[in-house]
Amino acid sequence: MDTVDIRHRVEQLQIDYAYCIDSGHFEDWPEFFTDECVYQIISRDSYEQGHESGFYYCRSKNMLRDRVLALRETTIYEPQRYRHIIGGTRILESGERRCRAESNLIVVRTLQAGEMGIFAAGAYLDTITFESGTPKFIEKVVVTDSSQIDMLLAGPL
Amino acid sequence: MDRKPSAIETGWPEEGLTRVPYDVFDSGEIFEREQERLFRGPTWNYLGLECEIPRPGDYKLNFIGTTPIIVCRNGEGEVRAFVNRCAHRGSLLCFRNRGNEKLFTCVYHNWSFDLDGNLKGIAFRRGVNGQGGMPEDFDEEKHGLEAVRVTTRGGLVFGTFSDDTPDLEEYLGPQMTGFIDRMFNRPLRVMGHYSHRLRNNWKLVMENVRDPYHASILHLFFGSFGLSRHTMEGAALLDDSAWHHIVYTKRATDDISGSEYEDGKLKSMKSNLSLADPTLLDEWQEFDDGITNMVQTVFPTVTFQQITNCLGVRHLVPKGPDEAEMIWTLFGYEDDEDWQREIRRTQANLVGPAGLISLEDGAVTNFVQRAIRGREGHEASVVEFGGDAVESSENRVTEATVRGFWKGYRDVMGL
Ligand code: FES
Ligand SMILES: [Fe+2]
Repeated sequence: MDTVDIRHRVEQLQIDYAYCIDSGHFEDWPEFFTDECVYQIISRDSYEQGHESGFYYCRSKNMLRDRVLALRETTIYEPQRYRHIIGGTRILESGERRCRAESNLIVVRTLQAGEMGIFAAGAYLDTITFESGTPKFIEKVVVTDSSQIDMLLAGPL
Repeated sequence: MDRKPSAIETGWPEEGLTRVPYDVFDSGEIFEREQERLFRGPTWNYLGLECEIPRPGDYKLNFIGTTPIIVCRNGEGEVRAFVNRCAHRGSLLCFRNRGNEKLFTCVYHNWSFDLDGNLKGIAFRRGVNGQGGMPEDFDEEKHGLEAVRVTTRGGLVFGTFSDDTPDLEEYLGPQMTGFIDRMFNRPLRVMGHYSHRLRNNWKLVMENVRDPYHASILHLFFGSFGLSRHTMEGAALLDDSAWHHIVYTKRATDDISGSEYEDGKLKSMKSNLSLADPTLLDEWQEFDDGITNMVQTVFPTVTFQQITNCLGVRHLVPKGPDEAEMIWTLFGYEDDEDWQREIRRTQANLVGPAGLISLEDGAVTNFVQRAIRGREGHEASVVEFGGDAVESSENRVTEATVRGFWKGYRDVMGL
């Protein structure tokens, strides 16, 4: 694959990923990951200090499924929607089988009363495999520029 | 906004601690009184962990009430705290959350202060070419930073503005002190740090953390995966003053037969659920006493928690009558092994603004704030679960721990 090709595939993956979350199809969300995977949401400040703990930490696709189970069955919060804007993808390293990429993200959250605002801004630090045909995340670290969450962080970013 | 007279004028409801007038959650007048009587009064306020400022000159910022505070370690290795306000014309002295300095130098006009808060330098003190400058008799010694009295225990740092605050051990009483020693028993290592903006009065959060009634009801995950149920052995403890509390659970003692949990009456019990990756709840028995969940508060605004092996400090900072910030510090110990660190890290999924057993708290405290608007007169909440007792109990089917908070509050606020 040439770099244009890789960039194209990574960007397409991000578009599909954002659509999945923004449309509320959480059940499909774990399918963007390999069985063995890491998904984390952590603040920039903690990430730079080398802290382990952030807002979300899943170390298998099944843990992602458990987050979805909780969202559907046990979590209680007011209806809300995310809108992801992902861009500025930089391919940091690439080979035939995998690549590392970094992208910017902004998430606008809209609450049911109509109030909306920038809920999160930050970066995706992604490791992506191309081995199974469809690209999948081996690791996705969501680094949020702010350490503060407004009220609650329910769905994934 | 046109405000009705608050509880300051009308007095507390005659029922006493089983009623809480809603005014206390949105009155600006009460908020101001809290700053003066509670946060500048005879209370110990959490300032941080000693391991966050290990070397001389290390500092971090925090708040007591709304007052910005610098916590630092001086040249002799002692912990000091000051109001983060330059003694010249009031600028923030430090504006980075943490760092290391030999002197704190204000950026506005370069006045500088040593690590004990003494004024050490004034830019152009003697003027320029014999003109201007500070008066000859200006006494630097009278213009140091406003000091906060500091105490430490088990690596925790507390501060108070008042000379009347008793020693920490007396403030807490032996049982509460004992629980602090139980968890803060050796050098700590910070594993995570974040903050949670709450759109409600700070006291709704303190009621919430001291409320064992809601835990297995609101947080369905808790009940469904058997992390905490009222059928487990546990206790709701208050010290003699009732200002501080502990609620704990021993998970291994659960027997739901014959309870509302068993026949599915409680919506909070979804026993058909199972985790695809049960390692999410991997744990080890960390404390000999068999306690698997423990939440402890030190009046007014700090909470220490043990959710199995997820250990943390939640420090609440009031931002206004209807806004607060909860600052979380998750920690383990310096001598943790990698597998222990990984378990703590995984269990951190349970807590915080995205926590599987705590995410709802930020929602419900905001629900209260929204629902108390537009009230007719002096409505009050009902805090009568477990009667009107304000004492420890061997069960957690009580709001005594919430009433204890209001006792402390009324003692200090003169309400
Ligand atoms: S305000 Fe700090 S030096 Fe002037
Ligand atoms: Fe709760």
